[in-house]
Amino acid sequence: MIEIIKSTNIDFIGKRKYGFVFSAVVILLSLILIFAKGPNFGIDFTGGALLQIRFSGPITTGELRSTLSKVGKEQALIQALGGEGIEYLIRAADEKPVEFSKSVKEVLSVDFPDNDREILREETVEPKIGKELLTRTLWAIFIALVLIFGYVSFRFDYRFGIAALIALFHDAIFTIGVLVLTQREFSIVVVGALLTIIGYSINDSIVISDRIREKYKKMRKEPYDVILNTGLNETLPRTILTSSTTLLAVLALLIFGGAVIADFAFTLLVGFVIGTYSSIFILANIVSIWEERFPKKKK
Amino acid sequence: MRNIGLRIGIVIFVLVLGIIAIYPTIRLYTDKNLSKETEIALSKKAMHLGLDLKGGMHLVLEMDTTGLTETIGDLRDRAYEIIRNRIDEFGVYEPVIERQSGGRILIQLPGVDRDRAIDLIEKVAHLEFILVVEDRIEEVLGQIDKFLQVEDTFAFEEPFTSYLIRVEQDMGIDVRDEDSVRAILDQVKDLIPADLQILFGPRESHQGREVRRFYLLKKKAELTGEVIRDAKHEPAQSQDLQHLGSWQVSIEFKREAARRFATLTGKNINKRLAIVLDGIVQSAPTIVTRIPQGRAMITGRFTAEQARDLAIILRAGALPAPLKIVEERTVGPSLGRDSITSGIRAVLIAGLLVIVFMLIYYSLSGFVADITLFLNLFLLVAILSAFRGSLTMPGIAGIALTIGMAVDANVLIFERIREELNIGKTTRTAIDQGFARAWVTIFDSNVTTIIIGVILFIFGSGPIKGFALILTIGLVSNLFCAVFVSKVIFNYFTYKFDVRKLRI
Repeated sequence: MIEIIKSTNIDFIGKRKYGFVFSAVVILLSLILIFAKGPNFGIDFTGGALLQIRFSGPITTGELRSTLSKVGKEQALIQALGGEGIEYLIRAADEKPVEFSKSVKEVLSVDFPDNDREILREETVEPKIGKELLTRTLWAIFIALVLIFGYVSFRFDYRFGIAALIALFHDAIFTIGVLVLTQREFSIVVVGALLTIIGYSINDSIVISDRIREKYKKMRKEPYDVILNTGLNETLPRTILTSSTTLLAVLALLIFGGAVIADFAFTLLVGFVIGTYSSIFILANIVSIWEERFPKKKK
Repeated sequence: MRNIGLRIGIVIFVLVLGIIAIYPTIRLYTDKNLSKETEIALSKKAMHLGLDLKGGMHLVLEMDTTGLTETIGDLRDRAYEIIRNRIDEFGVYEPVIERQSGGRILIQLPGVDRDRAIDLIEKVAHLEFILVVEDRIEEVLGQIDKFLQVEDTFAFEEPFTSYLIRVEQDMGIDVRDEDSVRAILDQVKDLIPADLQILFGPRESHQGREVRRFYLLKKKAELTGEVIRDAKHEPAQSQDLQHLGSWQVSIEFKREAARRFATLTGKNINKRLAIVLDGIVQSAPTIVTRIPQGRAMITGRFTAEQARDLAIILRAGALPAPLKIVEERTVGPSLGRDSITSGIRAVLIAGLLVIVFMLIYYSLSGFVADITLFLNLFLLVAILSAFRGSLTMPGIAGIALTIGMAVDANVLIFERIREELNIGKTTRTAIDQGFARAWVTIFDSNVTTIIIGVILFIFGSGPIKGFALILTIGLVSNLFCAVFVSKVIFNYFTYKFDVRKLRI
């Protein structure tokens, strides 16, 4: 039985400007990255083909690239999986993914007749389907945001609703920024992870908002800042504990889950850290500023 | 202490239901000596593995309806029936075939040979019997050559005919020249008489080079595939050494067509009749005698597998329009196995870390949290089995995530109880108050995540659906486990052992 986090009394609200400055800088950098470099969209959205191939003998990225250039596919992304140089992921955006995939397989069997191959995974997505997936995905995100805004506004206050939305955009942009920086593939699975992050972050925000609401009823005489600070400090142990167990689980997934799930786990890991940060530093602070500028009449 | 007996009863009832639901799944995936029948019976009640874990292919096909007048929905429905027949006869275990809007068909086939399955599905299988026109070939070739020489004064003599080589009794081309030959044919298509057409045979090797035979045929087919009553594959009877060990497909015509076939063969003795499948001349035998029985043979250098597949698609009939693969996701069986191994490993390690963490941090109460965590995972698999849900790789990620997030409810409750104890409440009151106060928060925070889960389930595709399903089920069953069950455990033990000081 231990209690690592004794009751704290950190002045989150007083230090809010540091949080805001940090977030503003990071969001700006993320936006610059997103617009300048662009996410590394996977074939789910661009259309194209993906081949995961395991060779029976070692082969180098250079050999593969020169073979692919014979059929004009040198633009393909070649990624070695594992360390032994026998398993590769070949991926390219292409107008005719089925032909792409076929010609890659053909040229490999011509160039490496003695190096037996197993196709572990083969995906082709027509650009048309990619566009549809993108539209559907955007709709999913939009509906998720509307429903969450609705629920939070209904259970708490529209101000929490709007603050929660801002925090969610913050989390999403921040996470996408990190994905662009690390050039991780932005696939449909990653979008699933982003939505999960949104759910997780809002979950955190709600726990904190709940406590603030409770304190608000009990501490009517106190200034709003004090109420917010109390709420944040009282939920801090829980915030840290839950983040720890969740991050432990996601970390296990990232390290031991294999290549197929790595991007998903990585996105979750980054997003959960950001989500935890934002529910402490962003959400309550937005509400507190709002309260300062436009005080709500106390009943 | 209200109705503790009833609440314990509910927990036991749920446990029993869970055990009944989970039993087929456990047996199916652990018992190695199942008979085929038991396996099928069990799998009807068990959790399934998604294509990404089992290996298999996911295809979305779209109809190419250019030049067709029927509505796309009707065409798709016909194609759907035909494909279903083909796949049924091919013998795939638990295929998924669904109609989608926009003339699309979704197909999911677990554990099949990819290339063979695609051939089976994609082949239009438009079979035609067309007479070969041998006496006019010189005339047509001459015209093409003359035209090309006029177009290009530097062209050599016989610019087209020089591409042709002899393949047994036929003419043919080297496949390396195929593109050039097709380009010329496209250029001179107006020179070919309106009642004739030029078609090629399949690729074959002839004297060390790869060739395709070249035929001049009538445009109009004498008979088409709709008249087929039955098709069977059988070993080729030909004494020809080249065909030794190869297979053929014998077809049987419907009654009326058999009469037409008899007349056709009777009138054209010593002429050649080409059997054309999807625009490729499979063979062009010479008619030796009138054939009254209404039988014909498609020979070629088929392997047993190819002949069997061809017979299947001929029986199922031709597709009303060509289908194009617009999306394919195929996972080989070994990657699926790797994924299962690494997925299980990740889940076990995640579980271990969280269990140890909770034990260290909350001691005995942490043990209660760990029990409810186990129960939650147990119910998750039980519910998945009861609804015959699929487990995908993102689904496994969802399990790991559920492990991490599920303890949140326990943490919320325990922190509340600690607070209540700190302000001097008795153990029992602190437990009751802690649960009561944490409940509102737990409910609110779970609802939003469940909203996300449902949206992902509706909008997500394939594997993501699996993730959404697990996440949602995990959270719902967690509400039961972490709140209801853990309260029963707390109440029962503090009551029974009259605990004065709670270790939390």
